[in-house]
Amino acid sequence: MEPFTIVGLKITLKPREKILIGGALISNGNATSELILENEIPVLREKDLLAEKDATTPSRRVYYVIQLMYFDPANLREHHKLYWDLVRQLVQAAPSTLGLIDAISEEILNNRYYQALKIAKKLIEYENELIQRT
Amino acid sequence: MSDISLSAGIRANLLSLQNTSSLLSRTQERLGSGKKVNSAIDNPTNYFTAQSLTNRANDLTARLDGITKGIQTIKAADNGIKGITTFISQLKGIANDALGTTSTTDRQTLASRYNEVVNQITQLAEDSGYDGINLLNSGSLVIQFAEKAGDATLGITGFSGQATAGDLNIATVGAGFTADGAASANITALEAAEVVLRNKSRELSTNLSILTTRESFTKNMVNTLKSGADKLTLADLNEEGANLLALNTQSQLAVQSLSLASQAASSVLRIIG
Repeated sequence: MEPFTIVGLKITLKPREKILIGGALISNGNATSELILENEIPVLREKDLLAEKDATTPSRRVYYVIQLMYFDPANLREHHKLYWDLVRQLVQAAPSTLGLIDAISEEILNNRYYQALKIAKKLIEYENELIQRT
Repeated sequence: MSDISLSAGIRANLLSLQNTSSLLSRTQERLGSGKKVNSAIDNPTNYFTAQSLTNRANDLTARLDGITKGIQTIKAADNGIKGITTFISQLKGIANDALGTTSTTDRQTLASRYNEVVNQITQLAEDSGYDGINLLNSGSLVIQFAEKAGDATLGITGFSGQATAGDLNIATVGAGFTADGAASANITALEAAEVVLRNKSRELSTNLSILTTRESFTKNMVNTLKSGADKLTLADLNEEGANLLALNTQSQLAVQSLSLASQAASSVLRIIG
């Protein structure tokens, strides 16, 4: 599964906002910038990046693995295996996450990693609410 | 109305039940009213009902069939290519033998053997199909990946593996490999054909890899749905929160796996720590 993003993606960066584009971590200057991504390459804003040390709950680990799939397609099979191991545990612990998980999986299947991450963010919020109820 | 006194334990349970039922009724009310839900806890019910779960599993299984068929088609073509490659080796051998003898009779024998093998190549190419699609007979395949038709697809174009008429350009020889030049020219043509086949084989191998990755992923999706479906109706949200916390503390293995995966990953992710 080759990674791809929407070609001609317009990105607006706020002053001093950081963004990861392919292998480059880029900081914006002091004014708002507009960029257009002309070719297919992974892209994620700093605020959407989850560091490994912050992947401390089941759903955050799922989010992290999706980032791995997105930015490290060479090792896709390993990342898939890890994804399903994590998902199995998660769904067993919390069956009500099944819908969100399936939606995320569908996006991954279609190489829409950016969209998969957006839904995975909802999964994290859902997990937060479940945990707060205990 | 007389007062009812409850023990602390019973009161706690009662409050817990009241909380749960008030949450449920709030959820149902929100769903019923069609208002936008603010709490993430309301969203999952929008994704699934028991009914659409079955439809979903069926849809995925149908797509899985398409992918599996694609895999079989590629494997059939790949076997054909392997066979043709062997035949080409034989042809080179025969042509070299022809170069090594001046006897006209020998050369005639070799020529007819040569032409037999050339025909076998065409035969094999024509027999390398699966379920009506033959990638060695200019057949092609489009595999639907996504839910909506026209979204992510994989197209696999075949080529023509017939010896003479096709992309391999392997001609039959005249009556007796009459001149040395003819045999040499044939060997050159055969080597060119080998290159064509190697490239096609590599292409097919890449496609096969894509398909097997997808097959595996889709199978996991189906299995997750099937095993999760039963538990969905019994979902106890209070219990789930506790389970998730327990998962956190038991998660040494998960943390290690994640760490290993990150190390294996390209350096770009080290940037994000």
